[in-house]
Amino acid sequence: MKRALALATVVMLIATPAVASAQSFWAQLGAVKGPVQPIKFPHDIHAGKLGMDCLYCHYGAEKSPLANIPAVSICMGCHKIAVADRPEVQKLAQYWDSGKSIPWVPVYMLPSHVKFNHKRHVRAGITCQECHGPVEKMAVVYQYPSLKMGWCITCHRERQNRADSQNPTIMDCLTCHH
Amino acid sequence: MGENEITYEPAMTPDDVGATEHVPPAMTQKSLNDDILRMIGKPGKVWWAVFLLDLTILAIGLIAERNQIVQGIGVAGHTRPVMWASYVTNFVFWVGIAHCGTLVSAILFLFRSHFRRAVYRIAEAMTVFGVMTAGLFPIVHLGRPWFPYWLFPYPTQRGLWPNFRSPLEWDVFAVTTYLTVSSIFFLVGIIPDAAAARDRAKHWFMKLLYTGFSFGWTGGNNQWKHFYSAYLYFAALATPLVLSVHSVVSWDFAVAQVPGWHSTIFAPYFVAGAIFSGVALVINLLIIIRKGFKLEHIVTLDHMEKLSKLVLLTSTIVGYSYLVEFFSAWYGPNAYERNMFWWRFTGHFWWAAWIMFSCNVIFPLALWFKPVRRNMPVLFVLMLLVNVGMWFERFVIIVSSLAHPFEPNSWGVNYRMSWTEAAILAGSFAWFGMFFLIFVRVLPAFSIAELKETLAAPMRRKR
Amino acid sequence: MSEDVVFNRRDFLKLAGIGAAATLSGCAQPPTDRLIPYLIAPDNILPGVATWYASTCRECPAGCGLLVKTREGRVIKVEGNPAHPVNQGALCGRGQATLQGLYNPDRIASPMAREDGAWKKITWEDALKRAAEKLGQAVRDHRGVAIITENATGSFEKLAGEWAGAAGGTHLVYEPFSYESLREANRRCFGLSAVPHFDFERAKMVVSFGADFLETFGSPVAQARGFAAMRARPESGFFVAVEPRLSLTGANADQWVAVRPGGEIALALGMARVILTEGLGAGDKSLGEAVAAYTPEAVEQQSDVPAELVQRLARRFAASRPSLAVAGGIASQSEQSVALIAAVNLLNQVAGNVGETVRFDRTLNFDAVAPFGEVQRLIQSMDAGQIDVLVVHGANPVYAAPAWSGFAAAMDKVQYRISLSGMMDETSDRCDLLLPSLHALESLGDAEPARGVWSLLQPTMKPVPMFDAHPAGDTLIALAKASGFGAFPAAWSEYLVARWQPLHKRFGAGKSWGAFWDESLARGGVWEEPDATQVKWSGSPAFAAPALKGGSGPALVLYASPNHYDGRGANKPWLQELPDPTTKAVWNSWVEIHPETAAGLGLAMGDPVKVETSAGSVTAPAYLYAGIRKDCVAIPLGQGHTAYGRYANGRGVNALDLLPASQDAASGAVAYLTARVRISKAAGPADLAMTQREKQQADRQIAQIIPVAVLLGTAPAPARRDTSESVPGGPGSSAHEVEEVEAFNSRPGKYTEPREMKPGEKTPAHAVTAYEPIHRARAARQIPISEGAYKNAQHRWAMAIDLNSCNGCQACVVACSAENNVPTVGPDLIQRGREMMWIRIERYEEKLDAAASSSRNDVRFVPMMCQQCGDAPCEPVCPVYATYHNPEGLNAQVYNRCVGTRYCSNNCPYKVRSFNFFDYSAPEKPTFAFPEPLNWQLNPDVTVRSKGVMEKCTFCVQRILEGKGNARDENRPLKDGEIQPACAQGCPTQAIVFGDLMDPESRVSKHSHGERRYWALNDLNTKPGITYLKKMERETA
Repeated sequence: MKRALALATVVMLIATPAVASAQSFWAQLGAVKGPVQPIKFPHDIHAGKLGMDCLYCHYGAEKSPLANIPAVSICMGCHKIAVADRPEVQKLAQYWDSGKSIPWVPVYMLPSHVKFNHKRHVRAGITCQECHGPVEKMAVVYQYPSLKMGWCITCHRERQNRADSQNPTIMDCLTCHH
Repeated sequence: MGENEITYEPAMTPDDVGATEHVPPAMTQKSLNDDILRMIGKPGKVWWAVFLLDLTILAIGLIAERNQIVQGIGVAGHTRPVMWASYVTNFVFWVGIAHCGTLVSAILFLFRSHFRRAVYRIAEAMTVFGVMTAGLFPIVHLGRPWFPYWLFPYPTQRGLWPNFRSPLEWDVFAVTTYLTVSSIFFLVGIIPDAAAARDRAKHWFMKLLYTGFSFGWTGGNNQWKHFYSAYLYFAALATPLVLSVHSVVSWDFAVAQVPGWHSTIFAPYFVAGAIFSGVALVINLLIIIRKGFKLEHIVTLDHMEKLSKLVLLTSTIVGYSYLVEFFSAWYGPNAYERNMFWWRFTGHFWWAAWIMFSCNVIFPLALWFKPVRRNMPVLFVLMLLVNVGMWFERFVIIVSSLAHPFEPNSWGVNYRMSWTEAAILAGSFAWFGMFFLIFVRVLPAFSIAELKETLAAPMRRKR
Repeated sequence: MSEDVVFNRRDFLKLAGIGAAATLSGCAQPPTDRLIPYLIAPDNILPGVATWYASTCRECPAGCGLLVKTREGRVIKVEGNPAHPVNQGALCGRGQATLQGLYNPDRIASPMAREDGAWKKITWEDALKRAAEKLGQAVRDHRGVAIITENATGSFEKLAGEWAGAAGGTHLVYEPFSYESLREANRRCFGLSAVPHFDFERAKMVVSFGADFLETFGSPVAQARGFAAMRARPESGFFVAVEPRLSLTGANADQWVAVRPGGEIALALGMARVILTEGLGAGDKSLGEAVAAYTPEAVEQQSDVPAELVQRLARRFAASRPSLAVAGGIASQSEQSVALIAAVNLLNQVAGNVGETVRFDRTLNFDAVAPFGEVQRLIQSMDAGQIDVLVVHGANPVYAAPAWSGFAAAMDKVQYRISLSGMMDETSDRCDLLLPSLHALESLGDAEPARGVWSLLQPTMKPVPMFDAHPAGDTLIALAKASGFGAFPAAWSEYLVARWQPLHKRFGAGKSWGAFWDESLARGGVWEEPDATQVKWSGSPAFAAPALKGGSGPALVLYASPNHYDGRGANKPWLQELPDPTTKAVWNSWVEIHPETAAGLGLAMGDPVKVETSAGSVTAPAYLYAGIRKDCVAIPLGQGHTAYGRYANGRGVNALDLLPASQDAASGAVAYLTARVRISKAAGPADLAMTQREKQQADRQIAQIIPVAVLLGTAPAPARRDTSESVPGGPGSSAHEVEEVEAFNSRPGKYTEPREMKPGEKTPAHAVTAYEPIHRARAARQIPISEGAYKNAQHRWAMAIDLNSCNGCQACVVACSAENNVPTVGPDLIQRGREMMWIRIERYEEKLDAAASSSRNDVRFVPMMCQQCGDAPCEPVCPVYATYHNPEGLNAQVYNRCVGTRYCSNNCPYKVRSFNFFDYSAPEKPTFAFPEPLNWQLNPDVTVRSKGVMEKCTFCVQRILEGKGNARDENRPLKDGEIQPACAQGCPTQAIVFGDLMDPESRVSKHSHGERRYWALNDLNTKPGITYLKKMERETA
């Protein structure tokens, strides 16, 4: 009886953290793969092989706090002609013809109490890859950084004393949380 | 081995034992053990009845708290400007209750006032449970009670730390420290008695339990020596806390600039008040226990009288503090302060102020009379009133000060206690009561070891 | 606009209020929701960047110009159009709240037909078919057809007119506040039936005979601006309010003449007589005999105004030329309203103000509004069953016409009733068919609110998809076509374009139509300075004091609610929760009673009181108000709706029910000031939710004044500290004391030891406060984090609020709520002190005495929001740094860090922090404040706060960040005034000035060091970032 009690306690003590860590580990694995998109859009081909500028599609990133998801019309700009025979491109065409937008699965998510400003970072000369990772090598885009506050802060701390009066590195909570 | 062969160096000689009038006649080492350990063991119907009632109230409190978490703190009566009310009042109240334990056990121990022996275990238990109750309220009163850990300084990926300038942050340390020290003190003191209980325990679980509490105590000379020195050190360690903890709590208010809070007198005033209410509650508990367990010969009227004198003393200190506050408000140049104190006794919460004043200053004057101090029913009622008064003291300080701020625009929004708050207040008493009820049934509620010191030490008999 | 407007996920989140949930959990949500991009990239919309459109406000006939801010195709804010001649950039609270008309959850969702009592959704085709049937029938049989519209002016009015003509019916433009007696009086006095343009700015003295020109009368925003300009001149700008009940406008007066109701005529004529007999006036002397009877003594006897006061007023009125007398509001709604206005015209005439301050250049356009006589004729013919089809658009006569007119009953006799209103209201509710129209912000149109102003409305967003509505013009045209009468262009837009051709020729000389049209749309319309029509005095009607019906009880004073106008504002939660500027009561009606009268009836504040007339009775909470005569009671109009949506229904009472049948003798206008009432205490508990209960400031010196004599240098300045004997150093304390205080205040290192700066040492921006002169600043160690951006800080944001300009209108409050997603919580929570507004207008009634009409009237308004203190009491007490000091001097509040200890609020001397006691942002909670589609209005740049966190004003930090960003993009320094918080932007009188204290040239720096500056609760040394400018105190007559 006593032994049983003791045993139970021990099991509890070991099992709980083990399960917890395992869960988070699997979660990580899942994240690394990246979500399945309605169209298998290969960033590695567009940004990598073809060397297209990120801002060609995501033009909002330098003009607006939000980097826009390109409208279908932007895709069709090329794909009316370009490799129109590929199955994935045909999928795209179907969306276009049926006049539907593509329901992309978001990869980068911020809680609504964080106001990230793409424009400021792009204009301060931060390359897309610094945050989004080697997208030009990603067949499927996945969440590259942790997107946790610590990750933001680390970078801001490092660059804090850059001599760029035009784009100072802000260390003020209010800048992102308002 | 027979009792007559027991031999040890008494911790103190009969001289420093001194006041032996506490020792009732015909009390032997054995009878003492019997009397006190009698309390332990199978509880009777009465105890179960009380215990169940207690759990029911606690359950109601918990339901109210759950509802508050789901709906939002708005179910409590807070308003702008009265953003703190009954929860903070309860917090201060329970921290105050927790004070007398350390006072009785540590300070009186250092002062060698031996009447404490009969009462300090109860007082210490009350302290520990009091802090455990008080500690709930800072969390209960949060708008987002699921983030209390943000108040603790721990390294996080966010790179954020709490604000060490905030009195609330000081509270975190004050309360946790106090809980740690007082419970250690409590556990150390209980070691020899737990051993005694262990030797009598029948059920394996109880044996296991007492073995745990008694830390393998055998009653050897060596152990006694270390025990007493350890006890002395802890007493010395705990003593400053009696003053510091409630001073820190008082700074929650004194540091703010709200008229009625912004005062330098708060620290001593709060400490005195804390001891005041604490001792009062101890007296109440003792009256019940000595009657309920027929221990009048162990906790004698002399003990009760000495405690009530302590109450009388602190009562006068508290009364003095009130008067000084009013005097300086009247005499000082601060118009806000003056206006505040006038409003406190004539404004919307005048009744609370008068309850506070009469219960804490006027009624206790009866304790000047010996018959009152030795009349248990009267004393019981009086002490109840004292604690009502002390609860209202905190209520007055917190609510009525906040209700009348600098800005006339927010005058007249009056706080009304909601059912949720009432339920949670009752629940807190039930929470405290639950631990205490278990305590009296499970652990020796009186220090056998120390009481034995008051008995004449048994000498080796000549053959 | 794009074909397929949808939002990116983050905005969508906020719409759904899930944003709050994310805040709550404090970590990112799993990526479950889909991200829907545009189908076709719109050229004028960039996600995350606001697009602005010009339009016109339709909340009242004043027709202010709007700039409409849209994000991702949603309207999220409306602001005044700086280019527009009517309002020049400002906008009143009602205008700001037009958003909640657009997104009102109770808008009519689709065409509906009443079938056996209940409403049934039908399709547009079906609806038009049903309507055409009846309408065609009626037109063919030459039966009566009538269309009632509001005072839409412009093309729609014309269309409605032509439509009615073609249908062989009548077109009635219905406005409850029709100014017909004003127009009639002007017709008789000047031979010109028009609502003149009152030039407050030029006037040196104004006497208002009941005109609430800062609230609802005429064009309030424009008038408020002019009034403030006049009041800014210390040497003149004297204002006397002549009214039995002190309105918001009257509260701004230097002197309140509590005239007996109806006594205004005597006073006006008495003043005129004094001017004539003493030969003071510039105007013609020929008018002597008209006023001969009105000797000061006679006036005193008729109006309770002391004889010598009449003379003093008259002399001063004549002396300060040009002066201005305005009659309006309750005074001009008696049975002798034309007579009163004529009397005031006469006063202006003899004082030589006509053509100076009373001009007929930019007259307000009420020309088409039907006199009540016409309304009555329509009622009669409806009653006689001569009207087969009634079409209503915008107007709500069932609610707004007094009960005695019998409109509702008559309307029931009409065979078929069609409503084109977009919002369900009492009139639509009595119809058989609903053909919902688009909201003004969704539709194309124009308006001519005043002469020389052709203002345009344009669709600022795709119609809100929940509501299947059509442009009213198209519906009318479709109806005509379907029932086969009239010849109209294919679409409303064509009709509009056709009507604008002449304007193209006039204003677009040399431009193509397209260019002209686009320019006009972008500008908000076209306008010109109309030349003033010269008028000459052409005789006046007979003057007589109006008689009040019914016994000897107190006179009933009904006034237009500053928040709800004639009641059309009552369906907007912002306006319901916006405290009434006089009583600070919300979500209700009340009966204003003088405390002594109330005491006689044993009434306490909020007690229910029954008010009876021969016509009916209402029961409402009593409000004890020293600003009303003992022999009067006042009730605001605009509440007591029965079918106007969830926010209006059952709130308060409709005081029109009390009116006995009574009309103006000369014009037939409805008489509102006509009855005496019986008042009695009713059963029930006191129940009146107010945001400010205490209206005395008890020596707290929150609102301060300064005698003009001091400003003009003709009198010594009073003691610096303040003027109450309860604080040492004030008057009444010994000279020694004063010295002590001065010494103490000027001691360097007082309180938080500000230290002298070493030469050349840079003051940390955040340390510069409006309180401390720039050369003294707090030691760096007091900065929470003394590193990073704190070194780069360039600005110290601050504000200066001129209490002399602030008239208490509260436009800023609505603007703030709109910009910052501030929830409305309803009366019950406000009763418990849980209001959420970030800015409030505090009202302090220093001196309010109906009896002593010759003495000074002193009501002060203080806009109170977070003072952004340099030494903020809230900051050190927060255990988790949720509130802290920002490098640029802002007192930051990080919502997602807040754990809700509420210590900051306790320690805030100004009590400007509001706490989320419940979850106002979670759709599943009963306290949800943004029921679909109200949540469309939420500003995506501001976090929607969740349960249990503290929130407060941060000078609209999102705008500051945006402004700084724009400056950086263009690689230039910030311009002063480029960044404007919502409150400052919306203020009609520019009383709120925002800027950078680090820039010594900025307006705010100049104000903050001006002569009138002071700081609220100065002696706490919080070093506020907000400097108040004292109100000017003028000599009374």
